[in-house]
Amino acid sequence: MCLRCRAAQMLCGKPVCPILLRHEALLRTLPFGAGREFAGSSPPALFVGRYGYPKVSVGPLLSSNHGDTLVYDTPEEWVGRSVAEVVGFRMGLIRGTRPIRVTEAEAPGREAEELQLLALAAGSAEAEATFRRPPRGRLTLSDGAPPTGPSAPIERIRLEVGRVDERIDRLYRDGHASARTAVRELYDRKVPVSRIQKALSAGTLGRRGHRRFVPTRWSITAVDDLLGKENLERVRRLPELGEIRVQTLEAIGNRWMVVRLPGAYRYESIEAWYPETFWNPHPSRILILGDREGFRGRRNYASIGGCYYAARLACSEAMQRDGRQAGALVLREVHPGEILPLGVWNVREHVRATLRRPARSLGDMEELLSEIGRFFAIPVDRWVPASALLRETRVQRRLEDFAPAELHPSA
Amino acid sequence: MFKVRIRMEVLREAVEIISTLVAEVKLTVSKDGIDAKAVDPSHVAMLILKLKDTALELFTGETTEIGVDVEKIKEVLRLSRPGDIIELQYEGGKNRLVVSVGKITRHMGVVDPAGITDPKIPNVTPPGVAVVKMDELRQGIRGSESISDHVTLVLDATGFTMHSEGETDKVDLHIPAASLSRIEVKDAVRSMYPLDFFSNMVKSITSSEEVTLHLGNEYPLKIEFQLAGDRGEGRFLLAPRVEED
Repeated sequence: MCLRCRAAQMLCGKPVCPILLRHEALLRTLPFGAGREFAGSSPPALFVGRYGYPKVSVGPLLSSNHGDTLVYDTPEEWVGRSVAEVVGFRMGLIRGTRPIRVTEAEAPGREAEELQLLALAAGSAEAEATFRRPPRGRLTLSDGAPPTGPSAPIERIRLEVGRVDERIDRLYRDGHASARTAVRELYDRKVPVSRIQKALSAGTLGRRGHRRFVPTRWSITAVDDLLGKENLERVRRLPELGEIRVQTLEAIGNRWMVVRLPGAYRYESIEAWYPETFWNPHPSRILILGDREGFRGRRNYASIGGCYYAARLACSEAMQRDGRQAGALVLREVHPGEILPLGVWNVREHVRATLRRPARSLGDMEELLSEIGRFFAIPVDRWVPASALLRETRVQRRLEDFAPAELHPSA
Repeated sequence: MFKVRIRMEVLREAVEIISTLVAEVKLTVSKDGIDAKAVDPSHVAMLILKLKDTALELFTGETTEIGVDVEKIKEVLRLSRPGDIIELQYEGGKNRLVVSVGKITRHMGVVDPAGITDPKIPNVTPPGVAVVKMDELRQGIRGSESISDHVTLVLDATGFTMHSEGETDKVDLHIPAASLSRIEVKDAVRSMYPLDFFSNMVKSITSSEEVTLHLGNEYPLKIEFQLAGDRGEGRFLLAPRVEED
């Protein structure tokens, strides 16, 4: 159940997630030296909470380091680094908070406007702040967003945004482009997905009259979902790959395998959690969970949450790059090396990284199954029943199998 | 170019059936009626559908092939009310289909029919035949949906069985031979099919009281049905799954 919920739905009925609470309690004892007065920088980054929606806690993430701190909030740059390094980036980020009504994005007061400007910034911004009380030393975890460090309510803040990213700024000034159009355009102009998510979260995109602060966690998945869907519109028109292709990667306690299967587009994402991993506290049982969609996509929210959409975006990019559609299967094995939920970026960027690795073509399904058996620690006969796509590819026949010459005239 | 008038209910029924398999469809419109053939992108299912000339209130013009976006037609249908007559007008040169209902006129872009797969119909002739009541079939599907993602259809001397089995539960719909208005079977036949396709197909058939199922051993299923009373007919083909060892 914990794996299904991940503190998003509170399925256990408790007001606070016991798993998050336990880990946060351990971390609360970490000393943190900052007082009420603060000077440093913002990568730039901001966090929009989701509790209390539509009145949520909004604020910048601040590092006591001056200068260029961009990497602290750019998950695209985190692939290849260790958990300790990533947590190190995040732990030092103080989260300033202030309750703001999400609709204030439309007619922002001075501070809300500064936050929006922060989301447009091309580089790190120098920052000075006075907190109402010294930041409390802890690491705040969320399954969607990357972890953040201590937090404190803001009394006063000054941000010095230098240059703005013109690509984002143009859409900020354009009150006619819908959020969808804006997100798509930024993506086409090669703005990193994490920046687009920030801009959307700060309520700087979309039609005038409809702009809102969007909780960080929602914004991340909204952007992954929207961009993935748009890419797939094009993918569905590509010729089929027509072979089995496999790519693999091992990174920070995860083993990743992306399989492309012959036939038209469809997608499935499966996570297998080892015992004693973050969302699987059970001492001995392996938990496997997945979700999928057919050629035309899905309507309801995937049971495995934001990871589903992040991995789908990565797959849609690879299929566009290769100019071939296929059945895409993402298998993820989570080992105890993953000690903390690092955020959905972990899935997006590592599936992207996997898809940049050399690919191997396999002859048939039997070869694929033995490859899965070799690469993962969890045996193949646990994976197959969990994957509708694997089972289907093995057992589903096509109509041309019964009259091949007639279905493909003159081909 | 052509001009067609058609009852809203008839068009809606045809469009619902087509949209179970494809988002874009090639239609052949002629004085004999409207014909559609479609194969789903994974080549697991196929549809052959015909609305006879009697299903049309009016046809003028010449035989024309057009490609249409099924969702756009659905949008127009949502604007219409039961009893409405929908007019479709196509002028080849402008590449636009003009759809009118009541006081609404919608101009819609058409899809190049050359870009839509034109399936050749495989010649499948399953040996077993059974005519099954639609409400019984629907009930069986509802019973299977929470159990598994596939169903096994069996036809033997005792009758027709739809069997669905999950990890812990299973469900059977059995219709004895005596309750079938038609049954033809020598040796027992049995095939497994993906439930999502089977279910969507059956649910899209709304005005037939009965359907004819043609069934073989690990062989495509053929579902024959009528639409718009006896003014239209259709058939679905569905490729089987082979049983896992």
